[in-house]
Amino acid sequence: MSLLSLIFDALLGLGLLWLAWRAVSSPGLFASVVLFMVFGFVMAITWARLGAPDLALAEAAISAGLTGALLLSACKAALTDTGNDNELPDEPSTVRRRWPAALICTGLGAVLSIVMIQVAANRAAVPPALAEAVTTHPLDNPITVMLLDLRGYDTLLEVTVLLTAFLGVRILLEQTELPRLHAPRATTPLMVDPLLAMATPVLLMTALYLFWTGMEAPGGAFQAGALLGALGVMYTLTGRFEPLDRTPVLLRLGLILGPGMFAIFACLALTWSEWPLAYPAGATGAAAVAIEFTLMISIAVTLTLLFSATPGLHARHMGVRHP
Amino acid sequence: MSGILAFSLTAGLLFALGLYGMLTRTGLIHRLLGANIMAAAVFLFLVVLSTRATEAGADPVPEVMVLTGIVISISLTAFGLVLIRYLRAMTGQATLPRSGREGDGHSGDD
Amino acid sequence: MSTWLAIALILIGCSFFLAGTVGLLRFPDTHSRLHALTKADNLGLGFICAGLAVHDGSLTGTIHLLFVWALAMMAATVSAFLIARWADEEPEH
Repeated sequence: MSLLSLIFDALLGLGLLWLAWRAVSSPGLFASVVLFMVFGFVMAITWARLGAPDLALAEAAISAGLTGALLLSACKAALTDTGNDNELPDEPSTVRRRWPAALICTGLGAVLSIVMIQVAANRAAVPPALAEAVTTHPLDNPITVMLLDLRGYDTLLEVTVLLTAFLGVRILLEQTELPRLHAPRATTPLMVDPLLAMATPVLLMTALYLFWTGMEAPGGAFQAGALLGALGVMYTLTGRFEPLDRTPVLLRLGLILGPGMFAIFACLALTWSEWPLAYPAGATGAAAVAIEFTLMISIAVTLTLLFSATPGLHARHMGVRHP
Repeated sequence: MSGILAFSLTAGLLFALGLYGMLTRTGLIHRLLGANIMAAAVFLFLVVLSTRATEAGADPVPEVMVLTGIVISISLTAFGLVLIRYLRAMTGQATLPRSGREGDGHSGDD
Repeated sequence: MSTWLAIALILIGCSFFLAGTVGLLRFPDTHSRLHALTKADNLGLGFICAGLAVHDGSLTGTIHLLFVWALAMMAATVSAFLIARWADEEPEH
């Protein structure tokens, strides 16, 4: 059995390496992007194999799914921005300085691999204080415990980075007029409506399930937020959400809700504790659920806006079809 | 855990591959892919570190750092892609302009 | 007994995936490739889900797996349709 799992791990590793190699070396942009998405999904299997289901969910939803959607719309942008309809423009010179780079990277890869194998071969135990803090915590999923409580400041800064990325995009959009990528079409293709009609409730339910189950099992605000973001992406792509030149107040609130509530909570914590971000005794669960919910909303809103590459979106009334 | 050896080796080589992509490609989206692959290599190594302990259970700290890193990666990618479109709107191509010296000093998109 | 049944079902599923992939690589144009992908892979996924459900043996697990199969088929249907329509608009593919 252990031989089988060794073979499986080796295949996974080789698959990752081969996909990464093809993604960075294949000349076409579209091929590279698709290979990178497949890379993301194989990576998700690797996380599951390494016993990290939270990461597998996040990788599949965020890295493979949403990053893939972003990259595909970048392919489309390469067409629309250059006014070209069919062919993706080639890179002026695809490859340069190939041999010195190959030499450096081979050396670096060899050294890194040796060092990593040596480091990883040293067994290290989880520090007892950490293990105890995790096991005695009111929430059951160690990842959620770390995200919301023990390393809450990491999470606070992380959602701030996400918000900053959107603000950066928004500033760039004010500098120049970029062609709209996902303009609403006059007609929706057949079958898109039924897909949305079925996908909307299913995605909403799955996101809420992931959010709720994240307290004791794999899942949580990030995975749930990414799923809601995926729903936003579908609505943007099918023209249900129309681009705007400004950010509506409701979206501003959605963007700021998670980081804002988290920061306010961090300051409020000073009234009942001497540490910021400390949870009030006896109310950890409720406070964590509230913060995680606001984080989920903000992550979903920010990811949707980042995908649409517009300052704001609003729901388009699709109109009732009169016979 | 048989996977530790295989996946640390994979992580080291992946990092080198990502770097190779960033050094040799001129197209900025390809370079962004290279940067993402380098990030994936670092994540893989962190998770290998978190699982090596483990009769008692994995160390959650590296795993949470990876979860954070995944979100940072998509922020970086999203911003980078709009930056590339902006550059294309300004200069007409999605590559970095050559500076006076041979090569362009720093690659600037990481 | 149920382990062997699960293994058999998963192997059958894998063979369908293999056939679908061979078809994807070998068939000449978009429509026949889609044909190979959607038909063989949906059936393959169904067999794999059935095998996993037998292996898992619990009702909730089975419902989860059914969900997975149904969602994958839904997405595959619509994306196959959209790709086929695109291929019709661009005759050279």
